[in-house]
Amino acid sequence: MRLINLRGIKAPKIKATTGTDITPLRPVEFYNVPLKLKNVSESEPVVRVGDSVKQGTLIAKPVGNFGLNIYSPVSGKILNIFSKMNAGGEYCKHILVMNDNKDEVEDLPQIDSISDVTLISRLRDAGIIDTVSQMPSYLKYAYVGARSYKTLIVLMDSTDPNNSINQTLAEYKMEEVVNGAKYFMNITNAQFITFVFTENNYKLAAKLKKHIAESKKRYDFKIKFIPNKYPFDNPYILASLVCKKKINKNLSFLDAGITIENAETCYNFCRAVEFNKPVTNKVVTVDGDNVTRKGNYFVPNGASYQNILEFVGVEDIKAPSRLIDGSIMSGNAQFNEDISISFMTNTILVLKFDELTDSKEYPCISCGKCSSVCPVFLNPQAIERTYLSEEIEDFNRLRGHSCIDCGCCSYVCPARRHLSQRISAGKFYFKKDKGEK
Amino acid sequence: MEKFVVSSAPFVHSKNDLNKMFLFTAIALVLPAIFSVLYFGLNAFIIIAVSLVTCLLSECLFNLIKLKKFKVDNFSFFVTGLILALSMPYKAPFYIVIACGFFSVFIVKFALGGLGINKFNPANTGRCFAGIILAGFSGEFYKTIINGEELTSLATGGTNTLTNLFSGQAVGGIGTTCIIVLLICLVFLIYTRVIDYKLPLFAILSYFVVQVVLVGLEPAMMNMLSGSFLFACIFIITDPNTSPNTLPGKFVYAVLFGGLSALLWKIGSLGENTIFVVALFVNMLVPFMDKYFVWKPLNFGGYRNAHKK
Repeated sequence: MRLINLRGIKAPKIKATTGTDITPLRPVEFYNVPLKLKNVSESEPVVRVGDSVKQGTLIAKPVGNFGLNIYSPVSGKILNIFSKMNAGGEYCKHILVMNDNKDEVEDLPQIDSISDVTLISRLRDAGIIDTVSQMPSYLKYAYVGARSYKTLIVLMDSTDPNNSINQTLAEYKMEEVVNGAKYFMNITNAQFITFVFTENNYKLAAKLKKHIAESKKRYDFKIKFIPNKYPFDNPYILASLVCKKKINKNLSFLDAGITIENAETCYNFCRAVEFNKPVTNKVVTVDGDNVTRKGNYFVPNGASYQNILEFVGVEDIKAPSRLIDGSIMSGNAQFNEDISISFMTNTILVLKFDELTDSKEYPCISCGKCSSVCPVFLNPQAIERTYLSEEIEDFNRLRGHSCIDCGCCSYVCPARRHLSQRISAGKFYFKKDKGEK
Repeated sequence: MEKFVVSSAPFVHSKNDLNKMFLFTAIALVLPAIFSVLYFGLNAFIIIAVSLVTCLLSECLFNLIKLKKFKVDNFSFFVTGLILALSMPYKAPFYIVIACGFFSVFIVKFALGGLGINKFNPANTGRCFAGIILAGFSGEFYKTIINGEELTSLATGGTNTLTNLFSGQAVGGIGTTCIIVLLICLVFLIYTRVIDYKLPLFAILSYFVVQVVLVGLEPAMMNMLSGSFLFACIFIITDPNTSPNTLPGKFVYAVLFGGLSALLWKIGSLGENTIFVVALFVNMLVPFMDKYFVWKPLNFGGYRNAHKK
């Protein structure tokens, strides 16, 4: 009787950014390339101050086995290597590249033959990052035996209220996306590709069917639709919706044989294999009620928020506003526009300051709206109470650690309780306490 | 850019607000109140006015003692006062209304914790207080409430006919006599998402099933629509604070309420009090239901069986 389809929330704001092609950002003079991303370990620079680089020259290499190759976004000169704050709020090394406007390009070496070994090494060399699991893409395949994956899910759409990267790529760069998905199928043991769309994208799915039918190489694929409700593109929920498998501590994605890629990773993979291009650009959705030209943009790695905002235009400059890295439901508010975007940045929002969202917190009236939307079937108000009274055992008993930080509970709460914020804090602090014991 | 405001996600909220919920409930309650004044005249007006003033003053008094400020926070006194007044029979003397208004708001609501923390529905508890403890103080009130001159008990059949139900001449409290008005309230509250439609649905269905088993189909249909039961289904058991949080709990709660009220109406001797006493009884079980009748959470990378260590 427990239906996950009834959970989640209808997206609060309709995506205004779909329907137009991706625009490249106007070149700027300086690029601050961050060497540490959210969950990925910091890379080590391989260039020195004063070196001249081309677009696509390797400038940083991973220290151990679990890092990311980082390539220069433009041709130019290395001006400085220094420590600075990144979008996640951590201090890390940045490489300052000055643009010389010569547009010299350096490519990766040509791939010899298409086999799973060469493809996985190309995943690593090109510096492709997987924005679903937020780690370098090759880590999923290189050390664990890519052949154990039996299901390949490709997200062609996202249920996020703002992020429209995948739809736009699927619509305008369909050939690259489909070819990239084919290369992923070569790596894994999957017999067919499962393309996942949300329920309002039937047209795109029909276009995809037509495209594959017209292509020369035929292969098996399936199209699945998921409800257009907010946290349903979360990998855990996607696995239970599409494959009817519950991922937990005892059953990882690898054990279940499920790998989830999105359209953007497929696009980057295809460009790395067919055109030998390393990843130097990130597609970013710029949205929000204070933005003049909403849309999707190719942003070079290392451009700052300020560059983007100058390019897209901000309506009301003087009024206080919010700058958010991430979606409206789960992003990080930024206090400074002089921070570089990285490969983890999917969405940038500029919102007008809204009194409503900062209104007073009322006492919880136990209406149960939070537990009726939670996609993990938690009881957020009970967990919040255990956090406030610091009952760690009860927090664990109510499975507070299973929370996926979607923010649905805070969204629906009529008393404006800060439920998801407190559960996140509880996950952080109570884990620490457990370690000390 | 002058400055950025920093806060934590989510940056957008649903339009459903706590004050809005109280406001909508108050609006829904005003309709049967107007109807009762039209139908019962001055008696009903006195009951409603006295109840509202008592609830308002009780809340102010509590705030004066606790916070040293003579004020009210929101519309909740209005909701409590109207539910209490509308569930009273029209011969209720004003001193009983004053006593149970004070009991509801001052003791049940604020002395037991205040908004969101009180474990009992203030209006319902006040109604039970009036119907069981205070009923003896006034012979006329006792007669209407237990034996009933105008209030013929539904189990014995009698004055309830279909035309009576819809024209407002059915038995019950002053606000519970016209079915059409109550149904409009129900639709309004469900449409504005103030109440969860599942609670009245489960309650009415289970009540109907038990009635069919006990008295047969036709009286069951009549009884289902009449009296205080529909009023309790709309305004009392749907109180967010004193109803369970999750769907399994809601199901058990509503089915228990509907089934028990049908059963006790037939075999019990509580008369008009039956519905409110049963609502108080299921209200007591809510903390228990919140603990045991819940969904088992999915285990997404959490601590498996952490509580057993």
